[in-house]
Amino acid sequence: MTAPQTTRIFRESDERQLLNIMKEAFGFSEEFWRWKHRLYPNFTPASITVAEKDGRIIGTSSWIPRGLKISSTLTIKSALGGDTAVDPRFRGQGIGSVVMDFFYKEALNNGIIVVSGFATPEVARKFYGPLGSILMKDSTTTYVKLMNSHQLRDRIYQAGEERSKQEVDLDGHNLAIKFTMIGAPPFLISLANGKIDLEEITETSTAKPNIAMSGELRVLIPFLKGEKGTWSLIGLVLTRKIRTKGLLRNAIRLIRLRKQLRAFLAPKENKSRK
Amino acid sequence: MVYVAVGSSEYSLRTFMQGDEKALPALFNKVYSAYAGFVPRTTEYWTWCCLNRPTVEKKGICVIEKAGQTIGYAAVAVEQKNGKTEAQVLELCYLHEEAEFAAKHIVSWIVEYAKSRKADQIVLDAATDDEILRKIVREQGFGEFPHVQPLMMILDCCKLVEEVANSQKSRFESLEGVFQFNILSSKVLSSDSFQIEVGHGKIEVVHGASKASAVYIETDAKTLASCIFGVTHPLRAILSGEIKVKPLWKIGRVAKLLSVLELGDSWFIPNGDFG
Repeated sequence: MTAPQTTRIFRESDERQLLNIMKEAFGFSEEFWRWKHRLYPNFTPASITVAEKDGRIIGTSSWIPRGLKISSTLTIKSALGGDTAVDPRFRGQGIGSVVMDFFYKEALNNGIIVVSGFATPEVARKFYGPLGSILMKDSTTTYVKLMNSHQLRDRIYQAGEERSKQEVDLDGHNLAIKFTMIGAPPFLISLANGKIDLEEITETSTAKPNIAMSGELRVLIPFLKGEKGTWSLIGLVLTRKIRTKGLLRNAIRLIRLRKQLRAFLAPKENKSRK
Repeated sequence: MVYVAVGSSEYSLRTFMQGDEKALPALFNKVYSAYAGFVPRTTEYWTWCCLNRPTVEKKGICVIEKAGQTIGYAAVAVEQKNGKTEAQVLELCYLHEEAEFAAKHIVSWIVEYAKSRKADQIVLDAATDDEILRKIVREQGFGEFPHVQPLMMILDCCKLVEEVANSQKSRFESLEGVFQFNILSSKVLSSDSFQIEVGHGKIEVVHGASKASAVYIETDAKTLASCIFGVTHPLRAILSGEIKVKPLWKIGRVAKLLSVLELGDSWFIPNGDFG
C-alpha cells in the first residue's frame, strides 16, 4: 500500500537523499551543500523542508535566516529562500506548492517577516508570482566578460543541431561576419560548404569577413540562440544597436544576403519560408 | 600571500591573510550599509560567505591597502556551471574616495586571477549607480547582461507594517484615525487582519480588530508588498480593485497612508548574497 505524502522539517537521516536531489537539480557537490546549509552560522533544521513519500524524499526547499535592510534605515528579520527542487518523477503534482506552503509556515513560526529570493523573470512569473512574491526594484548590474568563445561556439552548435533536425539546406550559402562585441573576445561566424562555424579571431587569423559588426554581446545572444531572426538583426543594424562601418552599404548588403542570414539565424523562420 | 606594489609605493595589493576576516566585513558594512538589500556582515557571516565557501581559495581574495590601511578588496569563487568554469565575484568593495585607483587595480587582478584559473567567464554584480566601476569594467571588456532579479514575499504583514511605520514616524504627521486591514488568504498563506491607529504623535499597529475603525481596507499580501516596496502606486492598486476601501470616499486617505508606508529604495545585492 502506498503511504500518503508528508511534509516535515529536516532530519539527520535525510542528508544522503537530499544530497542526491540537490546534485541532480543544481549540480551541488556534497561539500557545497554542507557548507551552504549545515555550516551556516544560524543553521536550524527547521530551515529545510522535505516532502516524503514511502520513505523517499521527493521534494525540498530551504531558507537561510538573516537580517536584511529593506530601506536605507530599516533592517528586519528575513530569510533567503532557495534550493527548491522536486524529484522529476513527481513533478506536475503540486509537490512544489505543498513544500512552499510548509516552508513559509515554518519560517513564520521562526519570526521571519519576509522571504527574499532570486529568480529569472520567467520563473518568478510562473512559479513564485502565484505564491505571492513580487519582483523588487533592482539597482544591481551584472557585468560579464567571456574569456574565450567556447560558450558562443556551444550555442552555435546547439542551434546547428536544431537546423539539422529541421533539415535546413545550407548548401550554396556562404557568409562570414566578424563580431567585435563588448563582453567577449572578437569572433567570426562563417557559413561555408553547408556548415556553420564560430572561431575566435586572433592576431594570426586570416579570415576575410563580408561584414564587421560591433556592439553589446547581450544584444546578439538571442540571435545566436535562434530566438530572433534576420529582419530583427537588420532592424538592430539600422537603429545602431549593432554597429557596422558603412551603415547603408552594409544594411543593403545584409538585405541582399538575407537568404544566408536566415539560414543560420532562424531555422524556424527558414522552414516556414521554404 | 603575495605583495605587489601598485601605483605609488604607499599602495599595495596582496591576497588574503589572517586578520582580514575582521577588516574586510567592516569595510563592506561601511561601503554598502546605505543600500536596500544590504545584509550586515559579521566576522562569522563573512567567514562563512566568502572564506569558507568551498569554491573560494585564499589566493582568490585580494586586498588593496594604502599605507597599511585596507581600502578595497574582492572575493572570487570559481565554480562549474553548465559544464563551464565561472569566476564569480562574490564581493567587490572599496572606499568611495579611493574608487578610481582601487577599482582599476582590483578589476585587473580579477581578470588575471580568472585567467590563472582558466575560467570561461567572469560574472560581477555591482551597484548600478557606481559609474566609476562601470567605466573601468567596460574598459576591461565586460559587457552588461540581464540580472537575476530579487523577489520578496511578506509572511507577516502586521509585523512588517509595524516596523515600516515606526521607521518613518515623521511621515505620519498629517494622518489621523484607525485603519482596519483585512489581508485575504493566498495559495500558501492564511488570512490576516490588523489595525493601524495613528494620532497624537503615536502609531500603533495591532493584530485583529480591537477598536472600531472608520476605514476598512481589503487586499492580499502581494498587493500590499507591491505598494510598500514601491512596485505599484497605491492609487493604481485601489482604482484597479486590487485594494478595496470602505467607505469608498476614503480612498484618498488610504492612498495617503499607503504612500507614507512606501519604501522607494532600489536594491543592490552582491553575488555572495545569493547563497
